[in-house]
Amino acid sequence: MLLALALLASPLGCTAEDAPAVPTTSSAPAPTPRAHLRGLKGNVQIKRATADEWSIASDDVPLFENDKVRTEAGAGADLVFSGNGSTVHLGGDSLIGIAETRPRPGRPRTDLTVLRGRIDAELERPSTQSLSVNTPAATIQAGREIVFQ
Amino acid sequence: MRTALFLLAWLSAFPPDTTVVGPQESLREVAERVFGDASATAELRALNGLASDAVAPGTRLKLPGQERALALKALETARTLVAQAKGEATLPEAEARLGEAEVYFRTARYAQASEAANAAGTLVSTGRAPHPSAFSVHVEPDAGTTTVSVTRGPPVRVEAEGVTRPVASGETVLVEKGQPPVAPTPPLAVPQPEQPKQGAVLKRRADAKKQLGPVKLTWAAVPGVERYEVEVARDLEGAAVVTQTTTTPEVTMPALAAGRYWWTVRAVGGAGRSEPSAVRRFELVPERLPINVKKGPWQ
Repeated sequence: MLLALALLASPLGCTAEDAPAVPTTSSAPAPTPRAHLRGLKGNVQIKRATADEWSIASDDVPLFENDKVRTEAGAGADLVFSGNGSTVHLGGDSLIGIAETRPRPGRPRTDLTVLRGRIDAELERPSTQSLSVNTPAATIQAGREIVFQ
Repeated sequence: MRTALFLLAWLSAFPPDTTVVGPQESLREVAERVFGDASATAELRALNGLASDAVAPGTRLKLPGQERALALKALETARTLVAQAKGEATLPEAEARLGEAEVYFRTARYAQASEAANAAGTLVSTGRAPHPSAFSVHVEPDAGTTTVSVTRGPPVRVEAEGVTRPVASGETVLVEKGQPPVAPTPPLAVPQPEQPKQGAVLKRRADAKKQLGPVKLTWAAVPGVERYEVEVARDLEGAAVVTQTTTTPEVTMPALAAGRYWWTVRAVGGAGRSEPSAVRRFELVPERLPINVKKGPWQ
């Protein structure tokens, strides 16, 4: 009975996380870019959270939550995060997701998910900046802001 | 099936910040189940006003909220910062505050624990020049194995399977999917060349092909090494003309042409390859043979 009530109480359809990153109505607030893609080298492609196809990325393109970026071998790009200015260099033959949120209770959101390949991250002022990176095997947290509440 | 549904309904009838002691479950087992830490029984006792670890099955226990996770993070970071603060004037006070934080945490006073841990961390980190942080993350194509290397700056925290490990500058951690982070392996020491001395001029007898030798290169042994790689080049920036591998801290070069040579050696072991040693130079010159003219009638 309780199980049935719980099922009835759960929201039907898509949740807020599933909602498109780019709103289609003018009344919705404009989404805030999580990062910008810069210093592109070679073939760098982007897939929007709401899109099914990959497209060629351009310099200074804004990246929103759950967007994905991939590079071919020998390619590379820099991700500059809007929130704290931390910079991440994306190496060749890599695949990353922006602020991909996984439904893991008690886990903080991440800035970046690395699914394949290599990133090199830099925080100029780690005392005030932070960066959280997820991979299939681990969560990496740099900077102090994440700890000192 | 019916029993499972009943259990689910029974458990979901309680608020999420409580738990019920199962049949034949000890407080230690409850702590392991809810915190992943069997030694956290003191927290459960403090939270629930228990005088001992004895709890009856079916007892509903109060659990901490998000404040415990925040306090734990603050504690872990403070432990790392205090452990790395060697020789700092504020270290004794920071250690005292960290000790207070540990006590507060064990007695479930999480807000005070966070405050004391933050104070301990601040004591050993204020006044330091800000160091930029740089680290790399590499994920293998098997979508599992993750390698984290910190090249400079403060430690980076790597968490997997409930285990958090700080990785300091110069360290590397490997994480297999489903496994906790593996302890950093200290990098191999760089071999220190010994003989010949820098700039030594070595006189050797030439063979039939006008090659000079032998030349023995030696260096200080490196602990934990499997082999050494020696490279000898004809100029400072040039490619190696001789590459040799040896398991002992010395190598005898094959006969070489007269001239100047530059050499380096690396240590290779389970922790990878060390950086190359400092470059050493030596010069090979032909040894002059003594000319002995025998007296005889033909003179």
